[in-house]
Amino acid sequence: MADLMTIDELSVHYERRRMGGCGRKVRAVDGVSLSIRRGEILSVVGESGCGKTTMGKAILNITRATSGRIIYDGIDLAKISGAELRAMRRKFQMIYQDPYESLDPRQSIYDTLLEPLLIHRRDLSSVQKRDLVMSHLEAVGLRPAEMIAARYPHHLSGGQRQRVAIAAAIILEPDFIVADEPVSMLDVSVRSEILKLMLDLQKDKDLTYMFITHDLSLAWMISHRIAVFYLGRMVEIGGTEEVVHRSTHPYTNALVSVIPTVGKKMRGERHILAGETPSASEIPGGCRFHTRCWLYHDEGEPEICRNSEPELAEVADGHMAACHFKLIPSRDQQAVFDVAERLSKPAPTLNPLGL
Amino acid sequence: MPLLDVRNLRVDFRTVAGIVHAVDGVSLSLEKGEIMGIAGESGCGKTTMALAVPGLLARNATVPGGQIIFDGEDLISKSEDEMRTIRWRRVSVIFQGSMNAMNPLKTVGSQIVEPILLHEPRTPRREAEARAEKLLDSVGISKKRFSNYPHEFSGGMRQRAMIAMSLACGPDLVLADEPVTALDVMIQAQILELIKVLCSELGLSLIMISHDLSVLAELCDTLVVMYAGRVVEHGRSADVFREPAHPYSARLMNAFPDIYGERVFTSGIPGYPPNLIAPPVGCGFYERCPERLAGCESTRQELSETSPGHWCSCLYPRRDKEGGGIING
Repeated sequence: MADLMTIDELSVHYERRRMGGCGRKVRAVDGVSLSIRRGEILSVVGESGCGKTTMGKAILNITRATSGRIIYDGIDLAKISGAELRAMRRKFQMIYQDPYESLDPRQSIYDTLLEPLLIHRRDLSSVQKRDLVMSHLEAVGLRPAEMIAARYPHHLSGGQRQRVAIAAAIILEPDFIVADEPVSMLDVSVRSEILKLMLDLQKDKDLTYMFITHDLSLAWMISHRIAVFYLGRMVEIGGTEEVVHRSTHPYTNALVSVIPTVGKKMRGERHILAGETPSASEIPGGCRFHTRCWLYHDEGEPEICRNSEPELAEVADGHMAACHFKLIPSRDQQAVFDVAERLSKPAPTLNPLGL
Repeated sequence: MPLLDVRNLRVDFRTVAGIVHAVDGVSLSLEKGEIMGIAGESGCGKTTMALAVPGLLARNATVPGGQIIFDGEDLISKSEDEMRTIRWRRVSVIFQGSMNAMNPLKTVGSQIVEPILLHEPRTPRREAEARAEKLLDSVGISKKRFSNYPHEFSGGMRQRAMIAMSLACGPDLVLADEPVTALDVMIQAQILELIKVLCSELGLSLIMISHDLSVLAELCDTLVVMYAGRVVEHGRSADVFREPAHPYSARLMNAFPDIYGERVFTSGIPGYPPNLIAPPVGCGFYERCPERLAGCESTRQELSETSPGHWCSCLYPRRDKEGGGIING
């Protein structure tokens, strides 16, 4: 797969002003490089405050990046004019977390979907626009479209609203969608339906997704690759099975270890990290994870972790981690779980089975 | 004798649209020291059922039938004054949404002292404060934070403080309503671990309500699955997880990805729960059930034992069918 978007040393820093005091620098995203391949689902996983949403917004130019380059399909987005950028905008869209807040309560569903067309598709006649709105409502499973179109967000359930948000995101036929926790506000029973819709659309319309979530098991379910973020940095990236079942960064390892196992025996040791993620305005020196790192303790608190920040380094093909002491998956872990066999399986079922 | 024995409990809400039968004949019993999980989608009546125990239902709620027998006494027939002696001293609650459950204008410490002074008025203030400090310490919050305000706490710390508050008067039973929802995964794991340790140290009985089955799997001895105001399945956690007998439970469990299982995409549970103003005559899950058969629409099946200690209210429990257990899709 070719790269659709390349992010190079992207940083988003804020100055947080306090009353009467001088500003403190918040480093929300702090030097992230990654590329997203055409047609893939890349999940960005991390706890709140790790910079995953800020990065998503910076990529779409909703938040300004402080430094770094974003290259989309060979074009450096910082180098093109405002008008060109506006024209490009329709190529990337965002789906927000909360369908109760992302839709304008005073706009009917029809107007909500019409708005992007009024801005970007002036070439269409009003009949064509109307047809597009209706066909997209049907594409996201909102039928009868005429009836839904006349309604307002408060008439709809959470799941239906998220479908509207998805319709609004795809109506301009984008290539790339950043979905920020699109199902975390929804009831369990509705979640899979929305995910299935997103996966079906991805296949039909040849979309590329960046899927932002705090839920590693959800990411495991739907993505080709997973990137794990901690405090503004990417600490691990690789194929889904690699990252989940052969995690080499102690933070990823801890995240995997706290996933409840639903009555099954767990593999490996459980690492509940103590304390909370430090503030992005007071990022610890050296490896930013060392203050909470269990491996740092196991290794006898080595100086290198306090003094130097590890760079991402390859541990296996396409699998990278930023740690001075990368974990080697233990032998019994492999014995219970034949990773090699699993990795030989094809990428996730984009056309979900059993339906 | 069980510590809590709920028998055929019903709770109605009067609304503009009509009477909502939110809890419709729920029976369950909890032994001393037991941790019970109650699972279900939003609107299935799990919170209403739990809040009925300490008598904390909204004003428009009525209890047209049933008994809540706590330590041998029926709480339904008690007066408000009598309930006040039970609330917090015997039965306390960890409310949902630690963000909003605290008074922003009072220090965290004073909010933990408050129930002590209220429910045990003879306690000297200084002693109550010392107890509050100890409680905070037991949930991992330093004494120094005693006079902080809630906004100075993170979400996880506020939830810890809520737990300390629920333990302030040494209750026998704690009702925890979605105690880790909206918290970060690592904080969730910390809080669950804390609850587990406190329960075993203090010999607490706990009812934990959650829509997240994996959270319940981690913690609970027994599991109750509710749907449309009724219990559809009840049994030891391990049994219910391994072999869900009700089609609803099975699908609910399947809705969560299991990283140690097969990577297949499940369909979720299309459709919506029934309108509880006019509940269906037969099985409440009929409309959405992919396994429905003749008789399901008209017969309301009561809970029956499908294997020792495992109860299910399906006319055709999954065990009887070919290839029972979890079915994908």
